[in-house]
Amino acid sequence: MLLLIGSYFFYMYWNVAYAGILVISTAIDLVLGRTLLSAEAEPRRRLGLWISVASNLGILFFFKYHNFFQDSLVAAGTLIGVTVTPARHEWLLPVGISFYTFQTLSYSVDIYRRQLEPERHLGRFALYVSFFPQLVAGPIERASSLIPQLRSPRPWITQTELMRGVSQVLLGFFKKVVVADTLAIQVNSIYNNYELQSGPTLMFGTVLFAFQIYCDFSGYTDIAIGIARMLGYELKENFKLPYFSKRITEFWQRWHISLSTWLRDYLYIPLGGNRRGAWNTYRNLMLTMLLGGLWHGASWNFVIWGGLNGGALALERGLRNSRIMAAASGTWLGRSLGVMYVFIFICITWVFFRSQSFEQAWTILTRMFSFSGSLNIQDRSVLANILIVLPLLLAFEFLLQRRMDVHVRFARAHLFVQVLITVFVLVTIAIFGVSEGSQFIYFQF
Amino acid sequence: MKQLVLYVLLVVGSLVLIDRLLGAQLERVYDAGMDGQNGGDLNRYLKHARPDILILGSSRAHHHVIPDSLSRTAYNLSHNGMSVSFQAGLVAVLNERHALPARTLLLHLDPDDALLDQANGDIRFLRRYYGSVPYVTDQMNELHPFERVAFWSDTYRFNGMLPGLLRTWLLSPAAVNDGARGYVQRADQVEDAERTLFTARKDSLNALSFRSRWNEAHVHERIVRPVQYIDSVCRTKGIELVLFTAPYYRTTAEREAYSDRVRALVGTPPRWLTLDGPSLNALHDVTYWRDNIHMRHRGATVFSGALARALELYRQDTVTVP
Repeated sequence: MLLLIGSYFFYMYWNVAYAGILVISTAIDLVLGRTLLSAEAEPRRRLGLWISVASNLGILFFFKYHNFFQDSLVAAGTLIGVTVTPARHEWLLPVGISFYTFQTLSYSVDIYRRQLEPERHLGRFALYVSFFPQLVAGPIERASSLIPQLRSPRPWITQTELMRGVSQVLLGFFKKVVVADTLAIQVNSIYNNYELQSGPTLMFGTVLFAFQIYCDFSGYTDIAIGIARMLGYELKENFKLPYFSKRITEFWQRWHISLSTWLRDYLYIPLGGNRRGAWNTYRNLMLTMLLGGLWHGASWNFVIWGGLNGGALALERGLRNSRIMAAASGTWLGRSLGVMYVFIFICITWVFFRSQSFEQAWTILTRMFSFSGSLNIQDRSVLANILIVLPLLLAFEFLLQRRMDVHVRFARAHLFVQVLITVFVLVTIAIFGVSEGSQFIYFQF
Repeated sequence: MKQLVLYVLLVVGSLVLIDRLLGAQLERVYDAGMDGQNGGDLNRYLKHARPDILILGSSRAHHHVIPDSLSRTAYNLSHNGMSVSFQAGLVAVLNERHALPARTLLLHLDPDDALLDQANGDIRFLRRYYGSVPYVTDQMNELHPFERVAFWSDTYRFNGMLPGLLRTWLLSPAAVNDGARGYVQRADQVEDAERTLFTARKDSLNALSFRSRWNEAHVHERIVRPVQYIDSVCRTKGIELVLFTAPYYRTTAEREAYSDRVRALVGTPPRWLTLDGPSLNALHDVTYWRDNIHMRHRGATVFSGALARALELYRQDTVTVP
C-alpha cells in the first residue's frame, strides 16, 4: 500500500491530472482481465481482448500520435492539392504512457493466451502498473514476473541484495549525471548548429550521441533496477553491453531488451514470425521494427530509424547461413569487424533518432560522408571532461564484458572496498556531474 | 544491519573528509589560476587591475570592445556565453572584493538574452563564491531546491571545472602579463564571410518568431532584475552605469521591436548608449564579421572607436536615449 501511494505521489509530482489516465488504464485492464478469465466462449474472449487493445492503444494514440497523423494528413493533402484543416490538441504527452500502456496490454494478452491468471487484488494490480522505479521509462515488466513478487514480498532484504542495489544505483547515477549529461553538452552544441559543422565534427557528435543515449537510458535502467532491488524486487535487465554486438540481430537482443522482447512476443510472433517462409519473415521483421520505431516517437524520423534497423535485421536473416556471417563470427578479426560494423551502422541510424527533421538528418548524413573539413571542437573544457569520464566508463564496461558481475562482487567485497568505491563515485559525481538537471531522453517516449 | 550502519557511517565520514581536503586543494588551484573563464580572468583582474572603466558582457563585448579605445586603464572583463544574470553575480563578487571600477561600468546587454532558458543558470559559473558572496548564494539557492544540499559538498563548488582549472593553473604563468587588459583578439578564418552570410540568414528566420516569444515575466526575471541589482550597487558606490548593445551584421525589424520593448522595461536610468550613425557604416561590409553577431578584429576596432565617441557624448550629456 505504501509503495502504491508512493508510486502515485511520484507520478502526481509531475502532473496531478494525468494520474487519472493511469487510473483509467489500470481499471480497464483489471476489469477486462477478470472478464477474459470468466468468459468461456471464444468470441466473447476475443471481444474482451480487442476492447483492451483498442482502449490501451486508443489512449496512446490520442496523446501521442493524434497530432502527428493530423499533420501527416495535412501534408499529404497539400501534395495532392487538397486543403485539410483538422483540429489539433494541445495536451501534454503523459510521461511514461508508452511504457505502462505496453505493460497493461501484455497483461491482457497473456490472460487471453491463458498464460497468466488475472490479478484480483486492485491495489496489487495498480502497483504493477504504477511501480515507481520503472513507471516512466521501463523496463517494461511482464505481469508474470512482477505480480508474483508483489504478492509475496521478501520478508527481509539481505545485506548482499541491498549492496547490489546500491552498486547499481551508483553506476546508474554515474552513467547519467557524469557521462550522459556531459556528452549532451557537446552533442547539443554540434547538432543545434549542424549547418555550420564539418563532416568529421558531425561524425564526432554522432559517436558521442551513441554513448550519450546508451548512458542516459541504461543509466536510468540501472537506477530503476537498483532501487527496486533495494526494496526487494527484481526487475528485468534491459541492456547487455549492446555496443559489443557483432550483428544487428545481436544488438537488438542486448539493447532495450524489455521492448524488443515485447515486440517479439506481442507483434512479431502474432504476425507469423519466421514460420511462413523467407519473404513473410522479412516483412514481419520490417513491420515490427517500423512500429517499434513509431513507438519511440510521433515522427517520421523514428519510422525511418525503425525501418533501417528492420532492413538490417532482414538482411542479416537472409545472409545467416552465408560464408560472410560464418567468417564474421569465427575469428577474432571477424568478431572485431562485426563490432565495428554494428557500431557504425547504429551510429548512422542514431542520426535519424537525434535529428529534429528528415531534412536535418539528411543534411548531417550527406555532410558526414562528404568527409570534408576538419574536426572542430567548440567547448574544449567539456571535451576534457568527456576524455576523463568516458574512458572510466568504457574500462568498467570492458570488465562487464569479461563476464565479471561487478554488482555481486561489490556486494561481496570487503566493507572498506565498498566504502572506497562509493566515496570515489560520489566525489566523481560532485566534481564531474552536470548539475543543470536535464531529463532522461526516454522520458519523452 | 550492523554492517549496513557501519557502511553508511564510514561512507559519510570518508566523504566529508575527502570532500573537505579536495575542496580546499581545488580552491587553491582555482585562486592560483590567472587565465581563462574558469575564474582565471577574474583572478587576474582582482590581482592586477583597478580600472576607471570596466566592460562587462558576453562574447559580443569580450571580442568587440578594445579597452585602449576607451581609456588608458579601461578593462574588459567580459565572459563568453554569459548573460546579464552572470554579470550581476560578477558585480556582486567585485563589490565584495572592493574591485569595482573607479568611474564607469559599461555593461553590454543583449535584449534577446531573455529568450535563453539557461540565462539564469549562468550564475552557476560563480559557484566558487557560494557562501561568501550573499547575492551569488541567494541566486544559486533560487535555481533549484537541490542546490542548498549540493553545496554541503566543498568539491561541488568546482563542479565541471576540473580539467579547465588544471589547464588554467598550468598556463597561468604565461598569462599574467595582460597588456590587452582583457580584450582577446581572435584570428580571422577563411570561412568567416560564408559563416556570416549563413548565420544572418538563419537569424532572420529565427527572428520571425520574436513576437510570439514575448514573455514579460521572463524579461523581468532574466534581464530587469539583474540590471536593477547592478544599478543599485553602482548607485551605492557612485559609479555610472551605462548600457550598450553591439550591432549585428544583419538585424530584423522583429528583433529591433523586441529589443525596444525590453529596453522600455529596463527603463532609464541606467542610460543606454545609442550606437548608430555614419561611424558604424563600415560594419555593413561582410569582411568585418566572423558571423552574424561577432565581428573580426577590424570590426572591433571600428566599433570600439564608435563606443568611445558615444561615451564621450554621453558624458557631455548630449546622448540620445531611445
